[in-house]
Amino acid sequence: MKAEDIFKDLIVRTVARLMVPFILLFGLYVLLHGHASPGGGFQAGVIIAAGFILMSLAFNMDELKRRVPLTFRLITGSFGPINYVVIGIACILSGGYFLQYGVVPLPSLAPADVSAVLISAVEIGIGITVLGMVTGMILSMTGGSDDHT
Amino acid sequence: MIWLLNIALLILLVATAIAAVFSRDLLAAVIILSVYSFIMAILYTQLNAPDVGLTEAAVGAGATTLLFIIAIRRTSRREEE
Repeated sequence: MKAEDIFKDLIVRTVARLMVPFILLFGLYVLLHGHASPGGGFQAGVIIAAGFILMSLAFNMDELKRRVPLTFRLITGSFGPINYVVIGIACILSGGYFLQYGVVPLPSLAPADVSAVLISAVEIGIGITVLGMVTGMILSMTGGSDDHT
Repeated sequence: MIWLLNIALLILLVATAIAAVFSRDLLAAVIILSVYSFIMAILYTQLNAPDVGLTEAAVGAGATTLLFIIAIRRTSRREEE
C-alpha cells in the first residue's frame, strides 16, 4: 500500500462516516458547556476541526479546500479576537472592568445570566477562530493552489 | 489502589516514548506518539486537571498526529540511515 492510499481505505471511510456526526455533536457540547464543565472554545474548535479533517481525509480533500477558501479561513481566524475585544470594551463602557461581564445591561436578565451568556459568546468566538485556523493549518500542509499562508 | 494504575500508566508512558524514538517506521512512531498523548491525557485527568486532559487528547492525539501523518504522506515513510 502506497502512502497516498492510506486514507482511501474502506475501513477509514466507514468509520469516518459513522464517527463524524458524533464528533461534531461532542464538539458543540464541549463548546456550549464550557462555562460549567471542562472544555471551552479552544478544545471545541480543535474537536470540530478534527471532525472536518477526518471527513476530508476519508473522502475528498479538494472538496473541503473548495468549500473553505483562504479568505474565509482568514475571516474566521480574525473573528474571535475581535469578538473578544468588543465584549471586553462593552464591559468597560458599561462601567466595569475589562471582561467584567456582570455589569453589561442586557434586558430581562440577571447579572449571573448575563455572565453566562457573554462567556458563551466569547467561547463561541474562540471556537470559530480555532476551527478556522486548525483547518487552515492542515489544509496548508496538504498543499494546493491557494496555500501561501 | 489507584496508585497501581498510575504507576502502570507512567511506566507505559516511558515505554511508549522510548519506542517512538527508536522506531524505524515513521508511521508507527507517529501512532506510538498518539498513544503517548492519550496516556498523558489520562494522567492529567487523574491529577484533577480534566481541562488539560481534554486539550491533550484533542490536540496531542488528534491535530498533531494528523499533521505528522500528512507530513509523512508528503515525504517518505521509512527513516534513512
